[in-house]
Amino acid sequence: MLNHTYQVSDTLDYTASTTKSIDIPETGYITELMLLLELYVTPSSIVSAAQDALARILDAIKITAAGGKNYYSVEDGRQSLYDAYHQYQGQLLHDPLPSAGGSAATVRMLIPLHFGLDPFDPFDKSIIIPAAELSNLKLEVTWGAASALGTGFPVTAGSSRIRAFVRELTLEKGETREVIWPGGINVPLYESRSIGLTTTASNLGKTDDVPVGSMLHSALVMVVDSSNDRSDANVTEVGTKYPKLALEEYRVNNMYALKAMNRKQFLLPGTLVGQPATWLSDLAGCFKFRFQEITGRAIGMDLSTAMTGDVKLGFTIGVGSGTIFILYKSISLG
Amino acid sequence: MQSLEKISEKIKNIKLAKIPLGEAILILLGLGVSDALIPATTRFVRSPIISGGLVAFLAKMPIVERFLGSTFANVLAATAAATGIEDQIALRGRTHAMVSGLVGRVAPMAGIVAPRATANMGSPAPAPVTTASLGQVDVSEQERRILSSLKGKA
Repeated sequence: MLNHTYQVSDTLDYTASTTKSIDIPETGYITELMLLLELYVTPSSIVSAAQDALARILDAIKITAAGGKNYYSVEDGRQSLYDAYHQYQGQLLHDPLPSAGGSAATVRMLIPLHFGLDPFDPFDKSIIIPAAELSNLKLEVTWGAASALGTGFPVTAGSSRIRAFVRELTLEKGETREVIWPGGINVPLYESRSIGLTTTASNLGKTDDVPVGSMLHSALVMVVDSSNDRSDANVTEVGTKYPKLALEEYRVNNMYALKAMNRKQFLLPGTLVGQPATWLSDLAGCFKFRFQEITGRAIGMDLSTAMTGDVKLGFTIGVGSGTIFILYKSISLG
Repeated sequence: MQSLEKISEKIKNIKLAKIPLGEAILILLGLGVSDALIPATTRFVRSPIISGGLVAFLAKMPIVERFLGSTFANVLAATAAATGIEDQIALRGRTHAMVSGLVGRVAPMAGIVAPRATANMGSPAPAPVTTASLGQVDVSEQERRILSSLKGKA
């Protein structure tokens, strides 16, 4: 078994409001895929940066393969960013946008997509994408418009792109997959949901049925207000519900407590020199929920024989507007 | 050198209501020895199935069999071969996955675990108690695969 790190030769070039895709070489078993965003921005004399600007210009990210395989899917770049933010204690490259009237500059952001249970082992083989056994493996990105960055930040298309870096395990001559994974492999299954909020709801009244059929590991929850900015006001309480058992194994009815607990659990930064101002305190409207909080097992909750509706995430809604984005990570059999 | 045959024979003959408990104990002992020997041997021969075959062959060598006794030598040979096959092609795991999939289609509703009656020897079985749970008792197939890959086979 060899550890292999390489840059995909093709890049996802920026074109506003367009979906681009590149082929991922099918040479090994991918443990990690890192996306380096590069935007060449020429600031105007008057600028106003949007919250999470660099992530906001990514409308969707997907990893798919032939046969309808869909390993990774988000409908907002911020979901990928903040999932990685929790994995890596906020230690991610994330340049600020240039100042008003300043020089044009390339701003960069790294979003690592680590599929396994140990984010600090780049070649963690617990959960992998078996590229060597797939066909038509693609990384697809949907670009937003430059206005997603805010006001006064036009993007030069020819100098803006996403570069993909792959970390994978490759077999040596004579080696078989069964030597490395004698029991079989696990593959990731990321699924995104968005719940539009139109009215308030009490007592965890707004619910979402968690995905079933696999092992459910975690849910990255991001709440945005009607301006599409992360907000602490729209959701005031979060819990899990099991209707058939009349159980609520987890319930926290204070968003600030939830965020503070989240920060200590994931060692998120309080102050970080050179990072966007929004990272100086607890993230507004964003937290990660691991189902091990309920089961006590690091891998999560076994829902392989569950039916849709058996387990729900519940939210109490304080302001009847905005959207809840949920990124579910499941572990499926490969 | 005294043989272990007498001890093995006594264990083998333990039965409970015609159920061969003694043989079950010998199998477990054999599996324990194989689980210890085969990973160590695999470092040299690089293939679990060859490693299992090697341990099985050694167990049946006359000088070794004289010490272990024919009963335990047979047990060790069989369990070493089984462990080598399992580590190489995960036959047990694949069978488990297949049967779990079939069982899952007729399993009780998720979250409700079917009650199990327990009995003590010589006492009548108490009435089964229905308990509701999240159904998280067993090790999942995903966990089993992760643990298997962490055994350092590479």
